[in-house]
Amino acid sequence: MKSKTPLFLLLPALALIAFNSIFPTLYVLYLSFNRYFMTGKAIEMFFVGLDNYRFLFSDADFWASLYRGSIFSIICLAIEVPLGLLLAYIAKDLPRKLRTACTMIFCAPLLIPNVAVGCTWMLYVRGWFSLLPNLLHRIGIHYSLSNPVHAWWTVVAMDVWHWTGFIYLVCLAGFYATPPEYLEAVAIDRAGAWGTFKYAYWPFLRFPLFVGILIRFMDSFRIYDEVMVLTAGGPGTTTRFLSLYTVGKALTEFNVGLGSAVSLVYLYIIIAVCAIFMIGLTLGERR
Amino acid sequence: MSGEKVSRRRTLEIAAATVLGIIVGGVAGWFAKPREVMERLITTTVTRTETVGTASTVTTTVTSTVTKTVTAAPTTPPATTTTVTTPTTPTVLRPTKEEVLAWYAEKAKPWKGTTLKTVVEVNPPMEWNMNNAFAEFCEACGIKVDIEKGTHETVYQKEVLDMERGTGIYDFFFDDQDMAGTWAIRGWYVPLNEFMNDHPDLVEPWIDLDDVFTLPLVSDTAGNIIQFPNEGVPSFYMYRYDLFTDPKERSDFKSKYGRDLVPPMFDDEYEEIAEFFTRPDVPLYGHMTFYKYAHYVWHHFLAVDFGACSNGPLPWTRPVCPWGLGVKKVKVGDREVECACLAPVEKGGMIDSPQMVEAFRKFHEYLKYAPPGALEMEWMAEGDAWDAGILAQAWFEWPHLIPNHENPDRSKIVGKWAVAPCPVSRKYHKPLMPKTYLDIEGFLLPYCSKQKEISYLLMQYTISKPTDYRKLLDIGFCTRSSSINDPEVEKIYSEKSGGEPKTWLSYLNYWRNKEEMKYAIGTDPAILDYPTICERVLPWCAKAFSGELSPEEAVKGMAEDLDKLFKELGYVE
Amino acid sequence: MKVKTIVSGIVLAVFAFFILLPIYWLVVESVKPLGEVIGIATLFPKKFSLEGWIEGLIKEEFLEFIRNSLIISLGGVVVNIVVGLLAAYAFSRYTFKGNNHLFFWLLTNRMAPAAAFALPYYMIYTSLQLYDTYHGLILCHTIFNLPFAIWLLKGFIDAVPRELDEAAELDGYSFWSYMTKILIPMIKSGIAVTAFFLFIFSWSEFLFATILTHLSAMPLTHALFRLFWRSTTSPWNTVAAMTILSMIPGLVFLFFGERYIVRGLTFGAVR
Repeated sequence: MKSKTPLFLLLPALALIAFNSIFPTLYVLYLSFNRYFMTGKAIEMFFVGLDNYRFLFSDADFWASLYRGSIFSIICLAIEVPLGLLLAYIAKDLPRKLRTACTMIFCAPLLIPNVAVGCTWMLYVRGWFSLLPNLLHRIGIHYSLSNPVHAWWTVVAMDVWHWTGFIYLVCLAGFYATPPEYLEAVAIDRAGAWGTFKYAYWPFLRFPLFVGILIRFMDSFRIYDEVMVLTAGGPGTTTRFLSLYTVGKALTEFNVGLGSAVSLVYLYIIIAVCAIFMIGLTLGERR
Repeated sequence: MSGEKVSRRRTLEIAAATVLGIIVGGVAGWFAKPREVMERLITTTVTRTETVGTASTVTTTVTSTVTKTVTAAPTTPPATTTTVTTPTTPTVLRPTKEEVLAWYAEKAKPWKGTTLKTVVEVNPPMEWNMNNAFAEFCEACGIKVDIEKGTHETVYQKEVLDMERGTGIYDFFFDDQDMAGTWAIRGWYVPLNEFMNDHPDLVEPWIDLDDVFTLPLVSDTAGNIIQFPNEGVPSFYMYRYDLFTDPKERSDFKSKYGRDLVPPMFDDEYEEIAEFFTRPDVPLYGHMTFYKYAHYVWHHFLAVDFGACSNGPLPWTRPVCPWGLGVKKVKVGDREVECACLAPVEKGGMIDSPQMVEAFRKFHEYLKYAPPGALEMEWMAEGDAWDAGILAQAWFEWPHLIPNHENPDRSKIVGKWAVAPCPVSRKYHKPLMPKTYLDIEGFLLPYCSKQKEISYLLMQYTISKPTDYRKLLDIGFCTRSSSINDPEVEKIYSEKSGGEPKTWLSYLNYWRNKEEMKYAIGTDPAILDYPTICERVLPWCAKAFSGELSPEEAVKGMAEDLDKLFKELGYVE
Repeated sequence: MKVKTIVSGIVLAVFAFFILLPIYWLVVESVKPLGEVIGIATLFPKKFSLEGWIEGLIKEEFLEFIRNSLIISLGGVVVNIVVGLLAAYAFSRYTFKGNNHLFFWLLTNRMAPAAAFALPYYMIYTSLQLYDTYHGLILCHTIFNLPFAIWLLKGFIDAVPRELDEAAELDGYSFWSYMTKILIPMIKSGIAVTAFFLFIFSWSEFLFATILTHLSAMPLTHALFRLFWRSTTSPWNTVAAMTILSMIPGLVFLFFGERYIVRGLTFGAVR
């Protein structure tokens, strides 16, 4: 076994990755330094250096999309994390059958394709032939997806519907990671509910929860399919997030240079947040 | 602390890797050209027979040398030195379907067994095509067609990606006449008149192109035919015939507004009727609109109808095109083309003119007469609204949904609707301004198609006389004057509508009304980047419609944004 | 104590209701006839009709799209597991300095927005004649599937003690027979979990499905999208029916393997 060098084992994986991941990224990088419109007055692609980036950073639409996406992610997390935590806290003490039933219900939306989630909500909230507007009308709320405020909160609700189960599962697993000795020790000290949480559960819950929050933040920042299906950018630009902006520039306006630049900036933003979080986590661990 | 040292080293590693990656990537990209551009200069001598006049009285043989520059992705449209009319037999009566199919079966023999690939935008006429015209053609000629059904945006994406790279994945396309300018400027299409000249044996003897009344709208100013139009249908004002002829409604309306309940001629009349019929408890509404990702809304509603944002006589209003953009000549390659690229009023456009402000204002105001959530619907939701029986009138309807209204399985308004000419703006509409939109969809033959001849035959079959006539009878679409003016059609439509001037009969009368059709226009061929412009315009319109911005601010922002776009594209300084 | 139980019960019930109501509506919509679906909303169908399902599966050819999605997802599973297993073994048994680098790079590939790679993929894949083929899409999905497979499998292989390797070598097992006879049976539940997640990720992927396919290899997600987003009226009951159809694999797994979901979704960070 030792005679088999690791290179042999890694070769197929590395080849696939170089082909699929490294080369396209470099190509996108190259394209972002050129001016290249696929339609319109035909001008040969030519090198413009950092022009695309300069244009990008002076584009109000880009900053607005970025801002909206960040606020959306933060709001979604602010709702999902406490909710998931609360649900897991309640569920951990339930009898097994009930807990399994709860898990299955809460986690059902997790494994559905994003497009299907968008379709479900679209059928649920749009127009005079859907359930939600009619139900809310009975209570007296004139719900309409054309209203920017309603549209925004609908998209948030859709994300909460889709992904709260994830936080719930992570927390549940974290709660079960606590060794029973800790729980006994805390019970002996009569620490009460808050004390139990702080001293017994939290140390084992912390790491998984933070990883879960990181993954959730990244995913909600990248959201595309669900929003596209439901509002396609919302009334006006209310739900036009960065992914919609990128696809609009690259595949509708066919401004390939700018689209590539946006894609890279988008990628680097995600990587940067990831890196900061990872470094923070590892530093936190060491302490 | 070893922890800190590790993190600092890590940071340095990451930074070094990034810099190295950028250097390597730049060098690699510099050498690896993503696309080869091959240029070949072809000089051919073409003999053309020019037929002057509809009767072949004078036949002249013209020998001309045509220089074609063929590139992998041609950057200029093929240059033709003469405008040619194809040899036609004048005023041919309608042949039978069997005759025509036999002719096609004969001509398509060399290509028997091939499979054509296409991506189409599926609207009701295209559905009819797939089930009838394509099916018949394939059966008669022994070929197969792989039809990918796409959306408006997906078709556009695939078209551009295919034609820009020259990969020739698809053999022909079916898309909107809106794109004619976009394709024309790049020369990605094969001008069908040229194709017909190069392959005279493939031209149907009954083709009679003069009969196709939409042909001028799908040709560019030099006479090159860009698309074969599959249908050319005008948009209209639609209303509930049963409500408008109901004695109680009529007397209520008369006592409230002092005039008769008839289809409106002007926007304020329209508003009165909308107000009268908006009863959310019934539910019944007096207006319908839509806006989800609907780039065509802004020009159909606004520039053409609501505000009359153009000036000058028809067909293509100049110096401002019907969308409110000023037109100027732009140098492309070695030619000068007309380009609609002047947006603000100071430069010659009408985007931030009072007319456009009025149009935006009206659009926003009329929303209160529309069903809730209407703004977030796609345009076909109009059909759903009508079929559910909750609409009393709507300003601007596409004919595509007519077959649905007459389908008893889904519609509650069978036999209860009627059609009238679109109302216009009382304040701004002047004589000879456009009144409505002529929606044309057609077949495009890309330059990189690998099976041009058989694709051409299929395209030609769908617009041949018997197919066109049957299409008109079945679903109400056609592209030939001979089909519309046929007396049989009037008889059949009259039967369908029970003799009263409603449903099909009113639609036919509207279409035959030459006075009205004079004012129906398509998308101006001077619009060279249709989807890009629409993508920029969308947010501004939507913000104005949802009330976030006032109409004045919205049009000002829109004019500035469009000006910025045209500077980016290089049309203005 | 009693109050706490009641409050907990209410919280759980309200949230469960929130989750289930759209799904109930979806089921109801899929069994209504078209005329009723576009009319004013009714909580329970006035008339039962399976036309949504039948039209979707046959007229809209969803049976073919399901077949395409299945082939692409299952093919992807096979490719990624085979390649990933080898690589995971290497990462597990041979110490590299870049363990954290691996996790980091894994996350970035999983987190890359698909729009970033859409155009280069189109250009590369069309030049290589991979457009609209099953293997093209399988290859394309490896960008986010392979790192995930490697990471997850590494976690499972780590749990197998090294002494086993050495004992096997002493016993005279060659590398391949060790893999097939000893290692894989030991971690087969882990492989099953990974396989399932790879399947779900490929099944749900949307942007590449739109751009890189024509007809032969078009997966379910894009077919669903253009079912309602098109230039003619949308059959909402068919949309509802096909949406339910696309949810089935996920729900089936949920029923059988809920314990493993956490592990998969958090990249093994949580056991």
